[in-house]
Amino acid sequence: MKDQVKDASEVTMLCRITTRGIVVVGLSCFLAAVPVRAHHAFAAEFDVNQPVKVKGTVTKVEWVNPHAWIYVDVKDADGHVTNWRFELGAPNALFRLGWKKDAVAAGTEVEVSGFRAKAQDAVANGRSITLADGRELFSGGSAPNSEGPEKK
Amino acid sequence: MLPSTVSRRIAIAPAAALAALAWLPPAFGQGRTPDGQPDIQGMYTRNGVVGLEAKPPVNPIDPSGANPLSVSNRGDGLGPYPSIFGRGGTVLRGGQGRGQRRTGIVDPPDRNLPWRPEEDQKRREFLLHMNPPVDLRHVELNARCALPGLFQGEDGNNPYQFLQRPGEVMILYDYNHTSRVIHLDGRPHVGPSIRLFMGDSIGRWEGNTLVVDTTNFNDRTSYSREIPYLSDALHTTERFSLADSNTIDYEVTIDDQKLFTKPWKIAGYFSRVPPGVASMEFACAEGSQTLLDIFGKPPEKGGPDK
Amino acid sequence: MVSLAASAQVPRASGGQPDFSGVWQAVNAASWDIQDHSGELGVPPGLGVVEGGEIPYQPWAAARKRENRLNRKTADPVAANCFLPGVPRATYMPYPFEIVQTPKLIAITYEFAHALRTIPMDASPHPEGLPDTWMGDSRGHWEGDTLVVDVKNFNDQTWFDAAGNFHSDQLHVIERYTLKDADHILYEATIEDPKVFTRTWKMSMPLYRRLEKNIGLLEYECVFYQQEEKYKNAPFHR
Repeated sequence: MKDQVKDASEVTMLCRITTRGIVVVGLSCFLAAVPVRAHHAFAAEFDVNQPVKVKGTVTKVEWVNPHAWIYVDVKDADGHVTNWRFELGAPNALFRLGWKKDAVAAGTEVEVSGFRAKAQDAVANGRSITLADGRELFSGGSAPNSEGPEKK
Repeated sequence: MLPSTVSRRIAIAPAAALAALAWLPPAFGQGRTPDGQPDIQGMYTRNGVVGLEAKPPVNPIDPSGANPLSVSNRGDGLGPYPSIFGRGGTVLRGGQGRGQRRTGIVDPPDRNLPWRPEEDQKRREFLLHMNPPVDLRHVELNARCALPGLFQGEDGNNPYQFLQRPGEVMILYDYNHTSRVIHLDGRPHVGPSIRLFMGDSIGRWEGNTLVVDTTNFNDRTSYSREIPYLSDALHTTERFSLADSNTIDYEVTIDDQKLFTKPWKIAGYFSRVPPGVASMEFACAEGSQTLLDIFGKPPEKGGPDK
Repeated sequence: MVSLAASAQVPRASGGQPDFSGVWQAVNAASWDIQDHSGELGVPPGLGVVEGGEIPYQPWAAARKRENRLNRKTADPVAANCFLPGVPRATYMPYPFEIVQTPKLIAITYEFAHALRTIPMDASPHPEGLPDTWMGDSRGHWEGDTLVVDVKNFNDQTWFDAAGNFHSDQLHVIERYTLKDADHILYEATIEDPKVFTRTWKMSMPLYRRLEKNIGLLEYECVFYQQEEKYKNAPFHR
């Protein structure tokens, strides 16, 4: 008997092994998706209807459990700088998704996409970052599609 | 199992992905350890174990936000449970194993748990005081970096590792660097004054099924957000059954006579992760701000050091 | 220091190597202070475990150690916060630990704070770009009958003891475990940290097998107990 699906965004396909954007379908991949009951409160704090994408310079990455954080200085058209804070997955998840400790050090130019916090400015739940060389690193966080490219 | 010559890169790389494609579950009847146990060693994800009962109470930390109680009491919208361990969590998907697998509450089939009515009421009342928590006792155990017991464990990104030696199976959870020892040497359980988050586990192999009897739990075992505590009367029987060389079916009988009139069962499975994934340190308490965020700094006692 | 007699009969794993599996414990006062020290209230006296006695701090680091020591009640990450003790302090905390030895992996679980280390024995290198860790990244190999464990990738947060002896994130520890006989391990830990010390130095001590029938680790959930105490009157009314 299947569990109730509480929230559609928690249903994920389990049978993919994703490597650097290439989706490899595992051999036993013929099961229906099984709901994942993770302990998350994404929807209580972040708004999936308010996606955001910013370009700027990393000022800090905090590699802490349960969530790493990346801080990015973003300059607007008037030259005014806001420091954005993005919540990421846990450090181990980041490492397994290809993030190396000094890969995103202070001073790195990045583009970050995610979903805004409901009750705070310049805070968001990060989905992925794109580096200057075009590589996209996923956050492993609680935002939808944070483990790999969106399914087409 | 794949030969050890496969690349050991931790990040999943194209070579490992191709090798993973070649990672077919071979015919059943895999190896044995030197002392004759079926060899289940390796890294797995755990799937589907903790399931909802039929008529669950409102989850106080409801991810959908529909529950008015789940709205934060902090002006910044980020607390008191700021996405604790909140991953969508599919970084480490292993193979599924063949066929449909049983998950969640499997007995009773209608998922109406055999609560003692007064205990069900107490539990529902307890939940109402968890967000915001009215005291330390009402803080979710996960948020305190407590040992996860048998049911918690943040599956998805955090693998499990099985090790075996004569007389012992050890299960390592990446999550909160947790370990369980299952003694196979015929020893008795520890005495009743020893109470443990992870319980005391005595096991035996029955063919290809490891049967584990666990007692001596303390009163701080949490099952799920809807069942935030089980009692120290908890007694579990687990069955780890080899389905094929990449999949272990898992069933737990939960017998807690203080809370339930009879035992009930949950099921799930472990599936091997692709090669190249190793365990990593998950330091929980060292970075946790949760109790500070919820209650603020406790008052100082005494003065500075001499 | 520790005498290294020719090894007597030791248990061996199926592959022929000495088998370190079992429950072990250090019996000394090193976790309070790894150097010679007298007793004080709550601190047992001890002979030091540092070979040669002296810890070769650079001048700035010697000053920092003195400051750490003055502030030790609130600055020691273990005493103040129950944080993971790091390596090698986890070895000589006054709690047992268990070694589970399998051919490709050795796990060490510690009763204190349920600390855990996994030691791959497959000749794999330390991975590049790992996040810093409290217990380090360990890689093991055999040199004859000695288990040698190379540990790197530490953060700078742990102390070697409760007396303020510390290191940087450049810490590199090489442990050597040798079975003197079935019930005694000779344990050595070489410490290298060019940011903090003027040269490498070494600690050594025996480790004793816990021989009680049906011995196993219990739980010392330091963080939990501390929370129970600190937050027992929460919410706080000010």
